[in-house]
Amino acid sequence: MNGVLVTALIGFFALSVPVAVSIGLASVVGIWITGRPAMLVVPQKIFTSLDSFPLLAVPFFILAGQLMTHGGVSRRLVDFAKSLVGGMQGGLASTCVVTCMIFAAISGSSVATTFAIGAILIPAMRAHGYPVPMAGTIQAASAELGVIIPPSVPMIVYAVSTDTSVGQLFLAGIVPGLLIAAGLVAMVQIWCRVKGLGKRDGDDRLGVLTATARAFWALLLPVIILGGIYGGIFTPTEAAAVSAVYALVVGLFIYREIGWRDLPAIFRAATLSTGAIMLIIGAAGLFSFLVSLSGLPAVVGGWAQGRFDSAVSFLMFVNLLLLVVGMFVETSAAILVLAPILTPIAVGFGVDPVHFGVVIVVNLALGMITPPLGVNLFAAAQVAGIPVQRMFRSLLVPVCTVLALLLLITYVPALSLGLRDGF
Amino acid sequence: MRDAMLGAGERLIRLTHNLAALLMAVALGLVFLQVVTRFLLGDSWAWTEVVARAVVIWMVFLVAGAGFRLAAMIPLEVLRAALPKAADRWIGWAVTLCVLLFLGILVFFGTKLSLSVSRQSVAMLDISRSWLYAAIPVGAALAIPGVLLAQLRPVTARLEDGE
Repeated sequence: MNGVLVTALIGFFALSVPVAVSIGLASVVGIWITGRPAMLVVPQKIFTSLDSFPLLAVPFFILAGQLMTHGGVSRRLVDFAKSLVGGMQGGLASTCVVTCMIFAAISGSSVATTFAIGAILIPAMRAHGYPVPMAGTIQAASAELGVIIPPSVPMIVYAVSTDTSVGQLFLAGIVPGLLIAAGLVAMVQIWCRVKGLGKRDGDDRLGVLTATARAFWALLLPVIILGGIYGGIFTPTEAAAVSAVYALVVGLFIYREIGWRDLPAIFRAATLSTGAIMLIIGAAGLFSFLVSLSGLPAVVGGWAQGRFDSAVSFLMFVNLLLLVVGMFVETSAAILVLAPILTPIAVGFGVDPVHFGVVIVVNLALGMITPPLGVNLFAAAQVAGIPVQRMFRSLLVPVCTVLALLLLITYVPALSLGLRDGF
Repeated sequence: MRDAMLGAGERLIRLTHNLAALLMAVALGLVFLQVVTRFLLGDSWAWTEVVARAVVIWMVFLVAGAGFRLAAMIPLEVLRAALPKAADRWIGWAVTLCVLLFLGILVFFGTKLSLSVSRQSVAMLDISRSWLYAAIPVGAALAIPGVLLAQLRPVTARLEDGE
C-alpha cells in the first residue's frame, strides 16, 4: 500500500497536478490497487478531516489577514517599525524583518505576510539602492515569521493532527519567533555593511510617538488575540473570529481605508485561499488515514528505535528529513502526513510534543524559502516583478541563518517550553 | 454556441464563488455570536459551533470551482517548466483529466455516502447528516465547469494568500 501511495503521489506531483488533487488521487489509486478499504472512505475521511472546530480558525485568520492588508494596517505597521529600527545602516531591511514579526502576530500565514509587507517594502528597498533579488530574498525570509509567531495556521494543523493544545503551541512559538527575528535583523545588518548598502535608509521616517499613535489600533490586535487566548477568554478559533471582526471594524470605521463595497472582493479572496488550503488538509487527512491503516507508523517507529539511540540523533534525522520534504511538499500537507507518524516516536524519545511541533513548523517554514517549491519565494518574486530564479544566489545567506537558528531551537527545548512551564 | 456555454460556465463559477464568500461571512457571524452570547448570557449557544463547522465545509467545496478556474490550487511546476512547449499542452490536458477523474470520484462516492447516512441526524440540530456530506458531491460537481474553463480559457495564476 505505502509503495503504491508514494509512487502515485510523486507521479502526480511531477505531472503538476494541483497538490490537493495529487494527494487525493494517490489515495484513490492506493485503494484501487490494493482493493481495500472501500472507496466510500474517500469522501468520508476528507469530510471528517475538515469537520473540526479548531480548524475553523484557519479561514478566519486568513480573512483577518486580507482585511488588514487592505484596511491600511500593514502600512502603519511599516511606519511604526521604521521609526524604531529604520535609522541604522540597513534600516529598511531591518524594518522589513520587524514589520513581518509584528504582522506575524496578527496573521497566521507567511504568504499573506509576504504580500502585505512586501508590496510596501520591496519597492522602498529598491528605491534606496538595494538589488531587487536581495530585497525579495530579505522579504521572503522575514515572512517565514508569519507561521512561527502565533497565530499560525501550520501550528493549528499540527495541533489538530496530533491532539496537542493549540494554545500551548502558540505560546511555544513566541520565543523561537523572536529569536529568528533577532537573528534576521543581525543578518541584514551585517549583509548591508558588507555590501555597503542602505546608508540613507532613515530618511523621511516618522517619530516614534507619531508612528506608535498612528499604528495604535493595529498594535492592539496581537494583544487582544494572545491576551484573549491565554486569559482563557476565548479559544483560538474564537480569537480568529474576533480578530477578523476587529480588523473589519478598524478598516471600515477607524482607518476608513476600506468601504462596504470592497468587502465582497476581500471575502472572495479569503474564501479562495481558504478553499485551496482546506482541500489540501482534507485530502492529506485521507492519505494519512491510509498510511496509518497500513501499519507504517509502527514500522517506522520500530525502525527509529533500532536506528537512533537518543533524542538528539532522532531530531537530527527529523531536521534533515523535513528540510528535504519542505523543498517539495506544501507545509500543511507535510504536517498532516508526517506529524502523526513522527510525533509518537519523538515522545518515545522523551521529546515534548509541543516542542516537537515548534521544531516541525520552523523546519518546514525554512522550506518556504528553499527552491523548488518555496511559496514565499514565489510570492516575493511576484511582488518584486522578477523571475524567481534570480533570487536563488542571494538565498544562501538567509537559509544558512535560519538553519543555524533551527538547530538552536531543536536542541534547546527551553526556548520553546520556557514560557509554558514558567507559568 | 461554444461561447454561450463557456459564458454560462463562468457565471456559474462566479455564483458559487459569491455563495462561498457569503458562507464565510455567515460562519464568521456564528462564531462571533458564540463569543458574544457567552459574555452576555454567561453560556454560549452550543449549536453555533455545529452550524459554523457545516457552513465552512460547504464553503470549502463551493469555492473549489473558482479555485480551479482562477488557478489558485497550488501545483508543483518544477518538472513541467523544464519541458518544451509542445509537451506542455499535452501535460495540461493530462492534468485536467486527473482533476476531472478525482472530482468524478467525489461526486459518485460522495453521493453514495450522503445517501447512506440519511437516517442519522446531526447532534443538536435534528437534521439529517446527508445535508453535511452533500457538500462534497455538490461542490465537486459544480467545480467541473471551473476545471474545463481553466483548460479552455486559462488565466495566469495569482498567488494572493495561501498557507
